[in-house]
Amino acid sequence: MSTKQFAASMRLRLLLLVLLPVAEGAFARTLINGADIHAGTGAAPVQGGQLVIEGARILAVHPRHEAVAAEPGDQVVDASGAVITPGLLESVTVAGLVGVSRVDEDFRLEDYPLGPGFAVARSFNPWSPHVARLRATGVTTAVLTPVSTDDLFRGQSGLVNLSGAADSVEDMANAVHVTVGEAGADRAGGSRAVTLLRLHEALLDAGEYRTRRNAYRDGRSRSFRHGRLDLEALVRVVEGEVPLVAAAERAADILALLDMQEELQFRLVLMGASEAWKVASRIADAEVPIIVNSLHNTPADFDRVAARLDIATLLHEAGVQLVLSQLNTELGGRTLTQLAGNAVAYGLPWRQALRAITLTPAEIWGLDDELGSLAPGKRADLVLWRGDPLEVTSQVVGVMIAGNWQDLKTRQTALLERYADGGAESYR
Amino acid sequence: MPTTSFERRRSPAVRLALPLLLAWFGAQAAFAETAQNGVLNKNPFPSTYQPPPHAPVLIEGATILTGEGEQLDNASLLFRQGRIVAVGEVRGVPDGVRRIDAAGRYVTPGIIDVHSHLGNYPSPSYQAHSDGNEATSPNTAEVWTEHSVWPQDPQFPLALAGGVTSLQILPGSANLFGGRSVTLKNVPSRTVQGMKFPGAPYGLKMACGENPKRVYGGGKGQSPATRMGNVAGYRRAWIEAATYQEKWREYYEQLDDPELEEEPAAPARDLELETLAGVLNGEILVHNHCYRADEMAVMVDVAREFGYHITAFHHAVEAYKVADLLAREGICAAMWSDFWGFKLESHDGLIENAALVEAAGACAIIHSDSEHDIQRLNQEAAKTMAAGQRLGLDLPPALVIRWITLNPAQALGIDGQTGSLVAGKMADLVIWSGNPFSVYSRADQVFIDGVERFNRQAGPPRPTDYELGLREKMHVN
Repeated sequence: MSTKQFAASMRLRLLLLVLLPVAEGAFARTLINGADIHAGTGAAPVQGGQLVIEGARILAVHPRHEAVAAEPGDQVVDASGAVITPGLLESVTVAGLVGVSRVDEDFRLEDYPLGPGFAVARSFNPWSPHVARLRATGVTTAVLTPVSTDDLFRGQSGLVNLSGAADSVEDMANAVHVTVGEAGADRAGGSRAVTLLRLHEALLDAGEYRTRRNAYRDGRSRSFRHGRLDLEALVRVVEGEVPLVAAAERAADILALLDMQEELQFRLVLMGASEAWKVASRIADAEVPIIVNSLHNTPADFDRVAARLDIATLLHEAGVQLVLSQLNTELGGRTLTQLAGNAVAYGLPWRQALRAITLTPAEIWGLDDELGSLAPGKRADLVLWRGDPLEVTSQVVGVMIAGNWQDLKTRQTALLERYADGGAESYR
Repeated sequence: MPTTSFERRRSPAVRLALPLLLAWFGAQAAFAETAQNGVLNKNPFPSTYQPPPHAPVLIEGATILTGEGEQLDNASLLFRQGRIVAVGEVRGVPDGVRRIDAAGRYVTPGIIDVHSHLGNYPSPSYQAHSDGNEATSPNTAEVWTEHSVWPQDPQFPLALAGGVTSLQILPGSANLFGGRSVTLKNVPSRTVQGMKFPGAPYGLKMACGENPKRVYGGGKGQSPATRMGNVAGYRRAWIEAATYQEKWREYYEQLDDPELEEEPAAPARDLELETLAGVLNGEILVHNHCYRADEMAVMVDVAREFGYHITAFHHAVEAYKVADLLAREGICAAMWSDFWGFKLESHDGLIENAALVEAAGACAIIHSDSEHDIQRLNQEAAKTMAAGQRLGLDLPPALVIRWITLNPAQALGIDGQTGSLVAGKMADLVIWSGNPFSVYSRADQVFIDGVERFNRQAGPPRPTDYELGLREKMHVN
């Protein structure tokens, strides 16, 4: 079959999917037949297998010869020639938090005394066109990131699914974020030493506050640098309920954070981490996960002197828990799969690259009971692809969230319809 | 009270005249250095780039995308003394030739990025190094960005490892007129002159839309504060430039006059108007940052009003909306593939942008404006190629490679020298590990004027001075 014919057939299938009712429970089961299924665990794909979904959950993954027959009421999707992966998890995004960059940004606080307490997910707009845009690239779950405050701490991230439904915020505050190093020094009198001192102090303060809440409420405790909203957020880190996500680039700063983590025993996740490869074995021993964008390979400042394109490979080989993210704190472009594909081009095994944008982020965000791989019992979040999902020429042909096929139309679809013939016609 | 005999004997008028005469002679002497026979030297910072000699090279068994629309399978390419000798079938292989077996691999012309700030916004990125925007006035046509380019920027070898052989460094887009751009060969050099593409014309950076009005109206309370302020700013400048151009035209006419009795006085030299007049004379190419379709249409009329041609719109996020206009006017659009939404004027981006521009018969270019994307222009083009193919457009690799080779060469006025694999052109080319439009393919070998500047097997690209003792080993094979 030629490329054009295949494209046409897949478009037809997609059309059928779009026409089908999207209400949950409309079908007893959905059977997706004939695709190569990448479960996301790092295991070999099931070639031409069958995925069975019941309600919002995955019921089974069958090899081709064990495919079950359809029963009345089932939706049957012929996905021969397609590839299925779990829905992708983007660990850093501002989609839904911003109308347009620099004009309407809800992820940035200026001249306002709030730090760790700043839970950005409260401003999430599920109807934002940028949510639909991200979903159309195969991302089904995303972590909304606080970008900056006047405090050392950037705030708390939140977890959303990208269905665009009114109730798509799944966790209003799933981690506390802090910036150390050169980027954090701006908020710490200019020295990274202060970023580390203040971080240490804040965690100790939270530990103290935690045992003296009543006294604090009654005005009988000493004053703290942070207010109540911030202290409550920090207590969750101290108690191990949520991780501290520390944006740090320089190897020396990473070591300082590892030392602090060893001392205070909180859950730590490192983000950015351009020089992490230099201290990879220490990070692996500490079992601290890392979120990187391996395409950020320029020595953009003195914290990133050792930035390199194959960082993902080096971290993986050292046994570090590796998550790939675009780290987009601005609306922009490119895709998570292009990032993962480039990591493969520079030595990361393909299945590890897929895991780094599916199951591994699900694990670090504490979601792997529900999400991240195509396993019986997990939520039916998945993507149907034409072509290798990590290849830049591939196409998303279907996205399912909680058993429901998603609308892949975006504003861009409407613009394309108007202008595909050159535009002049629609203005006559 | 005069005391010396000199002061006693001169009247006030004469006392004044002597210093004035000395100053006048001095100015004339200075002028003479920049002029020959009264004619201005238009190339005071000439390229000193001399490619070193190299052994002839014969590449065999490759899939060659020539940049002229052809794909040649299992083909050969011979180059010597910096020039391509034969493409496809090679007869008469010279002695001492270095043979490269490229079976299973692709060869393309060297990638040309028409929009880059390497060198003027280098790594590391600090104020001390930020030399891309002379944001002190909306019209700084007098600055030349080559004077801001730092040849030791570590971003240059990273771009080389991505297959980039030539690139245009532009001023930023803070200003209505940002200044002159420069076209460089991506070669190691101590000086910017040692990188300058020999014989390449100059460009002028212009910018419409949000940036100038934000920097001046928003930031400094000056004009322009609105898009209408932007356009008044361009028109005012072109009016002055036309007057300046006329004065110099008259002066040169007088110089050429055989009945000339007396040396005419040259008009006063103004660097800003000199660059603008260069555009009006057709010597300097206009590269106009412009996102929205309606603004592009306005700029086309401004150009027509003053009799100049816009060589390329840059970013041109809405180029697809006026692709017919661009085709008619012969204006290139230098675009991204899937980068939009970061500003209101980039709200209506489409990944199919370049494909639709191509389909309308206009000149489509994929550019980077990024130290990251410049390393992967082949992938950026691939994304739009695939999107366009899904629309049913005929976009084979042989055509799409033009978007990052011959079309940018055309927009830079260097397509006679480079940009495609044709006998006689410079041997600027890349051997790829596979189809360049795949995320898995990498530039294996990069040649500039026939000299191998990067060989992935042999080692990382040559680090710049900045990287010595700091990060030589960060370049990845």
